[in-house]
Amino acid sequence: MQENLYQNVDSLQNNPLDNSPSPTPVTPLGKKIPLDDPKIVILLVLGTITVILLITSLIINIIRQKNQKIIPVPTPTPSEIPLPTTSNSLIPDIYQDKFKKLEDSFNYDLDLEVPAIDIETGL
Amino acid sequence: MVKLVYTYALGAYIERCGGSSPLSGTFLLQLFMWLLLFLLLAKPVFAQDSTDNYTKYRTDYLYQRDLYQKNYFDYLNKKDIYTQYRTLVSEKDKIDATKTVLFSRNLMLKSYFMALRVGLDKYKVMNSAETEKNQIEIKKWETWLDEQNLIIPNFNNNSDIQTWSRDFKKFYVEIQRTIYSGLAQSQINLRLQIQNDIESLANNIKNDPKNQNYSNDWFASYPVKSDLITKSLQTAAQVCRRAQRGNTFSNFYPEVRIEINKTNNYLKSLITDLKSVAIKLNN
Repeated sequence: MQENLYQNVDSLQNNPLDNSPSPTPVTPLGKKIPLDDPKIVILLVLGTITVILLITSLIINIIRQKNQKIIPVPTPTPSEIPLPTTSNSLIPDIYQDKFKKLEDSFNYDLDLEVPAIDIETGL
Repeated sequence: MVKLVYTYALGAYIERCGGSSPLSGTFLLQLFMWLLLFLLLAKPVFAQDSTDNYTKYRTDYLYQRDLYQKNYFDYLNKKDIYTQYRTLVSEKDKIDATKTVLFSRNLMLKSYFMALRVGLDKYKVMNSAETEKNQIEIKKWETWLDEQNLIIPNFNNNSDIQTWSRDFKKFYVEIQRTIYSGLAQSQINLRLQIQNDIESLANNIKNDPKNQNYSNDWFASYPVKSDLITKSLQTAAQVCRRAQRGNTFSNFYPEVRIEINKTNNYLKSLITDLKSVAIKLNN
């Protein structure tokens, strides 16, 4: 009786009796990254920018934390107290009436309302 | 025989012979004293100033306005009656009421124009050429309204009234333009007067012995603000000169008011700054 050698029919090269070195398995991960692809180039550029921004923000953050230790300088304030210009009592007496007249003169417009008439009368 | 003799009755002859008695020195002195007293006490009659005239014309306008409103309601009433009954009597009443209301409307507009023209006299010196132009235009409309009131009483039918009313409607576009231009001119003149007063007061403060160059900053910034005021007022005047197209009045007055309000703000800012300078004089 002839002995039938075992052979995996699904995988022709998967012969347990074959001692020759098996070829490297072909997997999707094994593909080389095509650097010429514009999508990849953009991805790399964006990634680089993100990393640079991250590093910059870290550096700035450290510097700002250091600066917080400095005693803050108060905001400069005007040396003169603002004058309450609305109060007429502070104006010298001789000018008070003149200022009052000036302010009142804005009300001297002619008080003549334009007459409202019916122009359809007689039509 | 009786002889007729011409005799003077009741002593008339005596009177004739007596003649007039000469005036005594005391009487003349008294007369002179009374005359002097009259001249001293009598209030001299000066030409009325523009403010008084304006008040008078304004009062007249308000009276004419009330009269027009009364006549207008009467006209509406007569018109309704005619629409309801269509009789010859009601038609005649309606024609009469229409004539009356049109007549009183013209009187009201004329009195308004008169008040406006006299009101423009108040600050006329600030811009006499432009103000004079406005006043001439207003006077022209006063004359036109007078002429129309000579025509209106002669209308006898609806057709005449309708023709006249259609013509008036066209003229009313120009009438409105003249009214609003006059009002704008009066406001422009007042602002120029205020600016002039501010400048005068600033010069007084500048020459005050207590002033230690406090007003230098004010005078340095004044030309800029003065230019802004002039520009706003010029824009307001230009808006008034815009020609009207068609039979509908395009009201430019709100645009004028915007420019006038801008001017008010600039002027008030100048006054506030000047007040600050004046307050420093007290320190």
